[in-house]
Order: sequence, then structure tokens, then C-alpha cells
Amino acid sequence: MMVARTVICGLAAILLAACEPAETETSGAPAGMRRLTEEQYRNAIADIFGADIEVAGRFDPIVRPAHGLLAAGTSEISVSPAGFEQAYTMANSIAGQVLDAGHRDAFLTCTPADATKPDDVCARTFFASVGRLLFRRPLTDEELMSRVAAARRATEISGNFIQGVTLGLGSLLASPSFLFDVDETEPDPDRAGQRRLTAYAKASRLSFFLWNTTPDAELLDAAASSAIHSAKELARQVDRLMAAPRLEGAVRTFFADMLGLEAITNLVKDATLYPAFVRAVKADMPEQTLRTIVHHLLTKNGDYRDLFTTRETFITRALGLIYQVPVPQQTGWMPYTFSDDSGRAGLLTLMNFLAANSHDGRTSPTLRGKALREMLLCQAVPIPPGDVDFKLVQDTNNPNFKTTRDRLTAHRTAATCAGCHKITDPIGLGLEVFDTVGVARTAENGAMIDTSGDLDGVPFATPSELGRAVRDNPATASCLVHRIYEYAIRWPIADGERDWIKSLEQDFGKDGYRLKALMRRIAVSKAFYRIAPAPGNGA
Amino acid sequence: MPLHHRLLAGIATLTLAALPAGAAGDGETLGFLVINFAPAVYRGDFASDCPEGLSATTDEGFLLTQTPAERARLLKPENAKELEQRWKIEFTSGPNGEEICRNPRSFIDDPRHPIHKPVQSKIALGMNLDDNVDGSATPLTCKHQTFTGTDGEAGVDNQLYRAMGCAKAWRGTDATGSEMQIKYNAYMKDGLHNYLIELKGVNDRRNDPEVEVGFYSTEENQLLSANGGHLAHQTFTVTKNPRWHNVLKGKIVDGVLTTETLDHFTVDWFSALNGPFGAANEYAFRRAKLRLELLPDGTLKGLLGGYLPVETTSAQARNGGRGVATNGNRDCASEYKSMLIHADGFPDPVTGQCTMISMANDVVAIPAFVLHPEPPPAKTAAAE
Repeated sequence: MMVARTVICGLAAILLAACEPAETETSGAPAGMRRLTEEQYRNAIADIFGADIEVAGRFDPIVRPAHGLLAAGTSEISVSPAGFEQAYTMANSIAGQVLDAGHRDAFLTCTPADATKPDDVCARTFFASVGRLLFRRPLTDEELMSRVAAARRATEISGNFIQGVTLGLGSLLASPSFLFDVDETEPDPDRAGQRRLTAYAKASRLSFFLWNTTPDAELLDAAASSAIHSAKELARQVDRLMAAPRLEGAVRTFFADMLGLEAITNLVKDATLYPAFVRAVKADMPEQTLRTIVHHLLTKNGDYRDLFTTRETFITRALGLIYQVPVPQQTGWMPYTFSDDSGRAGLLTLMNFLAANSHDGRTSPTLRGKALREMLLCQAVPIPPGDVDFKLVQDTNNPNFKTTRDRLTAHRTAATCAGCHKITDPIGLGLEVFDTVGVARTAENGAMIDTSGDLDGVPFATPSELGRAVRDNPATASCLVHRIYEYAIRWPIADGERDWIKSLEQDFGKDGYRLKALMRRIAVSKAFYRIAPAPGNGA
Repeated sequence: MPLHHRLLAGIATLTLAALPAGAAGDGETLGFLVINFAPAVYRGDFASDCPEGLSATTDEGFLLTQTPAERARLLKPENAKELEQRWKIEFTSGPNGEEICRNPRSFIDDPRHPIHKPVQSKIALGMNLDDNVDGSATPLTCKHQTFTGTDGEAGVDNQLYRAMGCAKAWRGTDATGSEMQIKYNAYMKDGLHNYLIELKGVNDRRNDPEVEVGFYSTEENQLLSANGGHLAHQTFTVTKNPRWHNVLKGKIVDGVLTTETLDHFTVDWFSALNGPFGAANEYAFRRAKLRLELLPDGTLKGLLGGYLPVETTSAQARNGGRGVATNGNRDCASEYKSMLIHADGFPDPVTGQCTMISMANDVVAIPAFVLHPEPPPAKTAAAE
């Protein structure tokens, strides 16, 4: 239900010399639990125990929901028996490292009266301190005492206090309370009959959104005092987190998710046809995209839409093979600006988009168009029927159909194919002057390549003009808002949140399409922390 | 403007920007990475080139020193171990235990290691280096036989080919290349040394009366394709060592670039092992010149001709030590003697014996971006 935006100019607002519009009402997302991603797990361990603690093991894969983010997939997954075995092994490995002679003094602040005998007081102090960081909240008495008891028993058997607390620490690390971010709730004092996130759960949600890691001590303190429930303290914490370098890590994770960069790992190209697609190139291509994004959105605080027209990027010697430009710096990354007549501008013309959305040995305007629609415009493209004859499209040596455009045009004459191809191919064909790995070309099989087309009625003649059309398409900015909110709540957006998202889109425009402003709006909003009433709860 | 023209213009712009003012003329600048740099071996009719057959390998040379009866005995399977011990150790050791490849001069009077069978035909790859078609002695050369080039050029000087062209390791057994050529080119892939070519002031790739040719070393390594092939369009920076900068005037006629003769033409050899400023293993040509064809696919292909010190030429074997003679089955002493006897350049003023040998190197180069190092910052009074 659309709720009209109301303006409240109360005494408090007058005192603040501002008159902010009230936030659009939203249903909120249901309370749930999300498995920590591998990156979040590693970040948490490094933040709590130090970057030198080795995390060695495999993590259960996260399944990407259809047309959604991996982040949302974390709320739809359990831990498999094999995954738990891995988690348990990793937990004990980490515990052993944390309590080895080189590390234990930083965490075990008490000394047992006898190193060969149990010391419940010392063990309790250790578990309470470390457990708060791992569980992102204080341990309950039951949780605490079970670890103390386990440490006692292990010490009695081994005759070694350190071994006892190591076992207890391992059980904390293997606990669902560490492996899952749980939406713990409490009655909402401002909304009778409703529930809200506890202060600690609120801190976790905020921290995983802006830092992609567990809350730090200051944020946990704000939760402990419940200060985080006040708008002022929340805003202060948000600003603190957003000013930290760690924001970049979260932004990189979000865009890697939005752009499906995890698929690059399995990307292969025909080595005979595309010898330049070497390991170093493959490693650098997603990084180039992420560096471009971070530079434009965070360093420059630029307009998100300009990511589709900017010629500024970063480059390495290896990528110079693909872009066929000189790269003075022998190692590492250096800023690079494509020339006006390079034909390149924006993310669509970077190697990552071009190569990731091509076949092994030939380009695919269909895949490129589909990726643009689904990833960047949030428009679902139906999957092809099972009985499609691809022979004509795959025959790149047919003298009657020299270019991909020729082949796809013939393919589209089949009625069953035309419906989908007309929403993908016209835009994908706009990038045909870049081959399967992203090298520029002007002709295919001796025939000049035509890159003209239209995006939702907006004509373009070149890849740069296609980038401009994407930039100016209303769905582009709207899609980012949907995606980042989905990333923030790590849950598919509910119907009851649509009005809120719409208002967020409008605010995004008012803010000049600045990502940081958008993230801040989300982080300080009530909607971000709102919990939907449980089904059958009468609400 | 077509894309490849834009790319070339980009190269020109960037390279020119890094040069001192006035160093480059009009026209485009083209950069190349050398991917083939090994002594050129003409493989003509074998019976004409090597009528006496291939020269002996180390094991064959050893057996030739034995009586027929002893040879037959050693070749029996039950004596394989003894045979191996004798040809690999005894035969490759000098009078004081010297290694045959590290100290070939110690074998100079050892009759067990005769000179290799020379090439006897008249055709070879190469160039006329001494501007003298009949091979008579000049102040810079000793009397020698000349070849006719594969393009009909008279007076071609390539005594290295004459000396080594019937050795199996140099000639190979088919047209695909020899073990020596494969190794020479692998050195570049392995990053032991790499070379760049830069053409400046090219106004017409088919005919241009004046271009500048730079042939440089670079310490930067190549990226190779997944199957180990060379990749075009990589960027390399020219070495800072000025000894390995060779700049020549040239001209292009019908797509073939020829250069003037450069008295000293020096590039590094194994600098990755010897350090960027080491001179111990330089490839130091005298009286060198280039003849390279600009092919339609963008590559350069041709020859570098010049005189190399015999000691340098045998250094490739010296670097490998005894293993070259045993695993590589090359008689380094015979190679060394053959080079000495066929040396035709730069006579020793005292003995009159020539110290250098004429030769031609295959050169194939693919498009690359060639950058020049930033000049060192000027010293300031404060810094001093």
C-alpha cells in the first residue's frame, strides 16, 4: 500500500533548523538468519584475532537466487554436513593458532593459578571477552557456562589449561551463533505489538552492510548501551563507518556480487583463437572493473550513471595486451584514460563485461544484452526454450552470414526466438566491435561491423553511445537502488518495501546519484532495520 | 581513422613524448619485440652443403678415436656404462682436467677434437659485411671465401655458417630448426634477455628514404600465451644501460628496411643472470647492419649481420659447461677450433690471426610498445 509522504515539522526539527520529510513506511523484511560469506568469515577472524591467523578450509557455496544477489542467497542456505565438518576443522585450527605461544597473551588476559589444572574464573573471563566479539553480542550464561564446563573437562583430561580453553574457543567458532548473523528481536517500544532488532542485531546489520565484517568494539559498545537505537548515535556510527577505508571493501563486495564476478573463476577462452587471454589477464579483468567503480564512486564521489560513460579506468601491463595500448608501469596498477577515439567508454567496454559475456570462441550479443538487462537494468530475460537450433548462430564461417549480426538476424526469424532476442540482441550488437576477449576490431570475416541499434527506443551508433543510452535509462539508477538495498538487508526485497524503495530512488536522484549518499540514507533509515511481523502474528 | 592507425598513432605519440626534443623526425614510430634471434642457418641441398656428412657429435668423435675392434667392443650393450663414462668424462676432459666447453682453448692441440666439416656450397643467409665481393683480405678482414646470398647478393660474409653449418646441433635434422636455434629463442622466452626494435620517422612503410632504427635490450620479461607462444602489443621499457642502445640510420625500399653499418652494436646476453650492467656476456657485434622486411601482418623479419668475437660466440656453450658436450652432445673443442680457423674479421695486429667471425642472426619481431626510461632527475645543489 502506497503511503503518502507526510511532512512533520516538529519542535525537534525546528531546533535542528531543518524540516526533513518523514520516511516512507515499509513492511520491513522478516527476521531471519544469514550465513556468513567466506569473505565475511575471513574478515571477522582477521578483525578479531589478527590478519596473521590462517583460515584454511573450504566453505559451502552460496547459491545465487534467480535474478538476485549472492548476498540474498545467504538467507536461503543451511550448512551441509560436509560444510559443518569444514567449519569445525577450521574452528579448531583457528583456536589453536589464537592460543599458541605467539598469540595467546593478546587474548588470554588472565593467568591460570596452575597451568595444568582448570581455572573456571580465567576461562570464563576469556570466553566472555572473545565470545562477545565472535557472537556479536554478549554470551548468555548458558552459552558461557557450557564453554567453561567444556574447558574444565578438557583440562582435566589433558592436564593442560591452554588445551582446555582451546577446545572451548573452537566450540565458539563452530557455533551457529558465529557462523550465522541472526536477527534477534525484541518488542518495539515505539510500535505497539511489533518487534524490532535488538541493539546488537542492529549493530551487526549495519556493520555487515558498510564494512562487510563483524561490528568493532565501538559499535558493540553503542549496542551495549542501546545508544544505537537513537537516531543521533546511529547517524554518528554510520558516519564513522562510512569514513573508514573499510567502506571500500564492502562496496567492492557489493559490485562483485551485482556484476556476478564470481563467474570469472570458471571463464575459459579458446587459447588458439585468443592467445592473449592469459592467466594474468584473467586475474586483472574483474579487478579493473572494481577499481574503476571504487575510484569513480568513492574516491571521486561521482554520479553512478557516469560509470557507463567514463573513460577513466586503471590498467596493468597484462591488460595492455587486450586494450593494445602502452602501459608504462611495469608492475601493478596505474590510472589510464581511454582516448576519445578509442571507442571505449564505461563499464560495458571494459574487458570484464565483454569477455565474461561471450562464448569461448565467439562473441555473443545475446549474452551481452542479457547481462546488461539483468545485471544493470534489473530486467529479467526469459531462458530460451529447450528445442532451439543454434547451428546457424554457431557457424562463424558461413559465407552467407559473415557477421554475428547477420547470423542473429537470420536466427531471429524463428518466432520462438524472436521474443527474447529482440530485447537482448539490439543492445548486445552495439558491442560487436570488441571480440570475445574484448580486443577492438572493425570487421568480422572481412565484413565491416555495424554497431547501431537502440535501447528502449533510444538509438545509438557506437559503444560509447550505447553507454550514454544506458546512463540515461531510468532503469539504470533504479536497478542500483534495488540491488544495494537487497545487498544491505541480505534478503530479497519484499512487496511491502516497494514504496520505500521508490522513495529511495527519488532521493538517489536528488543526491546526484551518489552511491555514498544512497548508502548513508539506507544505513540511517528505520526501514533498513525494520522487522516484518511474523506470518500469523496478527500484524 | 581505422583502429590500427589510431593504435599506431598512439604509439607514436607516447614514444615521442618520452624522447628528447628533436630526436625524432616526422612520421610514425613503430615498436617491436624480437622473438627470434639465433644464428641463421641456410638449409639448402644437404649433399651440396655438407658432402662429407654431418660433423661428429661428442660421442661419435670419441668412437672415431678408437680402433675398429675397440669401437665394436664398446658398442656392445654390456659395455654401455664404460662407453658412457669414457666419452662423457675422459673425452671431454683436458690435460689438466679442464672441462671441454668451459675451456675449449685447452684442447687446441688435441687431435681427438678436429675442426668440424665446413659447409661447401655457395649459398648462405647473410650480408656482405666488408663491401668486398671476392673475400680478399682488407685492413679489417682476413682472406676468406664468400657466399652468394639467398637473394642473389654477392660477397656474403657468414663464416660462422661455414664453420658450423654441418654440425647437427646447428643445422638440425629437418627444416623446423635446430637444437641451437630453439635454445637461443627459448632464452628470450625464459627472460634471460630480450630485445626491442624501434623504427622512427616512418612516413611510408613501403618506401622511405630515411628512417631511424633503434635496437635495444630490455630487462623486462615477456608474457607468454597459455601454450607458450609470443604475444603482440606488450609494453617494454628500453634498458637504462646505454651500451645496449644501438641506433642506426636506415631506409625502406619496397618494404625492405636496410641500415647503415654500425661499428659497435652491442646487446646483452643472459643479463638476467649476469646483472643489468654486466659486460661479461654481451653480444658485441662489430660492423653490424640490419636487413628487415616489414610484412603485411605487422611483423619484421630478416637478418642482423656483423662480426662476433670467437670467444663470445663460444660463450653460449661455455655457459652450459660440460653438459653441452654430454647432454647436448656438442664437441665444444671442435666448435671452437672451427670458429677460430674460419674467423675472418679484425686481425690481431701482432699475429695477424683474425679474432672475429662474420655471421648473420635471424631476426623476427612482432608489434610491441617500446618505451624509453625516464631520464634521471637533474642534480641540484641541495642534492649534492
